[in-house]
Parts: sequence; structure tokens; C-alpha cells
Amino acid sequence: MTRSVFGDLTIEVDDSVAGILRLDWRGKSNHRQPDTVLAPFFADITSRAVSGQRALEMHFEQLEFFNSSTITAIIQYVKDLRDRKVKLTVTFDGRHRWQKIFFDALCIFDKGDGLFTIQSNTLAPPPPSSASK
Amino acid sequence: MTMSEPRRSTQPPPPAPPVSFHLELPIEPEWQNVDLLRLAILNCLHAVFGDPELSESVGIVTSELLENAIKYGDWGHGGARFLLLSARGSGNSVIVEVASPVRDGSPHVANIAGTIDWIRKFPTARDAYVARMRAIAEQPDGLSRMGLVRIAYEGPCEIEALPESGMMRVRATIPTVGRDSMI
Repeated sequence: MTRSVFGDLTIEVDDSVAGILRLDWRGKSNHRQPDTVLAPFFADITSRAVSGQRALEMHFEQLEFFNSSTITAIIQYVKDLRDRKVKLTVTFDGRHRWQKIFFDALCIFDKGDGLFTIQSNTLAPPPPSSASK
Repeated sequence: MTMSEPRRSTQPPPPAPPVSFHLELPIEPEWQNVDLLRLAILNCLHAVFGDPELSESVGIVTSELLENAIKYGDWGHGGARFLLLSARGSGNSVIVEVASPVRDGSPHVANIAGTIDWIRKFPTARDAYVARMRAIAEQPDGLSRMGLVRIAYEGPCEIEALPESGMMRVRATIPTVGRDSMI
């Protein structure tokens, strides 16, 4: 497992399961320009998924907050993965109103072809209380 | 000082209490202040209303308005060196205002007014939100322009642009009850 840190945001990447690249988002994505740090990271993840013929799983259950610029970066990445025919499954915590609102709307990119699916996981433990630093 | 997000309760939120408050803070336009104030407002509102979803929504509204003010305010031409955050509330609504200096003729003023007008053209804020998502995916222009659309839907809130001489004031009004029926 590898861990990438972008300010208050940490993304853990787990490639221990064959055919899967799992990303766990933790903390807060509140960078002023998240695309500048996430775009190179996403490019590397896409490259690994394509070369290793892996599907992506992105888990947001432990994410405490994201700003609207992060929303933009995620939307563009979802579109990019679809264009490259990389399979993506997104899991969120439907108990968080802010997550439910965004990911429910993100379903517009689910074309029913299996390339992009979204699921709510309400069984995961809630994220820990965060301390601002 | 550390500040934490309040723990969630499985109990339904109590009815809105008959409260009245007004908080006004001069803030230096430093990026790290955005999250400090999001959490401060979130915790204050949770203490006042006892509704974690309302306080979380107001925190998000506050952070998006502060981000815009810091990004697009005029901080380098001898004007005001502070932005002004105001939060006032009653049993029916919470009003968050952020005022920041802008240069005469700044495109920021027209962009805010244009975005608010654009949101109002849709039957619902959700329709505007989804339309913006589609535009970001299909016609990326390097700009997010998602902040106001997001808070209009997520708040949900009514947004007003109130330009003054050398200042831009943006006001968001969030109802304290019946919010889920509005999204």
C-alpha cells in the first residue's frame, strides 16, 4: 500500500488484490487548486490501471470534506476514465448529506455499460472526528 | 487550538429554537482560514441548533464564499486588507455574508452576478447543479465555477450579489427547517 498526502488530504492506494486498484480518500480535500496536485496523481493511477489491466475502486467513506474545486477534479477524472475505458466503482457514505448529494448527482455518468458504477456504503464506521491543524 | 466536527446523533434534529444571533469577523485573506472558519461556524451552529446536517451545510456555504472572496478579491492595491464574514440567524434561517474588496471593473463582480442569474434560469437548483456537472465533463474550461452552484443546491440557499463601491458582498440565506424538501 502506498500513501499520497496533499495537505489535509491523504489517498491510500492498495494494489494487493489482483485486477483491482483501490484508492481510499481520507481527511479533507481543501487545497486551493486541487487539480494541480491531483492531476499528476490521477495520471499515474490511470497509467497503472491501464498497464496492469486493473479496475479502479475509489472509496470516499472516510473523507470528511471536499471543496467545489475538488468536485470539479473528480468529475473530470470520471470522464477521463470513461474515455479511456477504465472501469471505475465509486463508494461513498450515504449518511453524509454532502456526499449523498454529490454522488447521487454523479450517477448521470453511469451509462449502464458497467464502466462506471456508484454505490453507497452505510456499513462502514463513520469517519473519525477531525482536528484542524 | 483544535476544533473537531461534532459527532452525529441518530436522533432526529429538534425543532428550530427561537434564537437570534449575529457574528461578524474581520478575516485576513489567508487560505488556511477557510477551513478554520468552516469548522468554527459548523461547531457554533451545531451548538445553537443541535442539527448536525444544518451546521455542516452552513459550514460548506461559508467555506465556498470565503474561497471565492480570497481567490478573486483585490488584495494588492492598497484597499481593505480584510474580508468580512458575517453570520446571523433566527429560528427560520441563517444568513452568511462575505464581503471582500474588488477593483472597479473587476470581472469577478460580473461573474458572480452571471452565475446567480444562470442558476435562477433552471427550474430547480438541482437542475443547475447537474447542468454544471455536465459542462465540467464535456467542456472543461479550466475554471470550476461550481462553488455557487454547489451551495445553491446543497444549502439549499438563496444567493444574492450585493456590489458596493470597491466591495463585493455575497449573501447566502439558508432555511433552518424543511431543507430536505427543497433538494
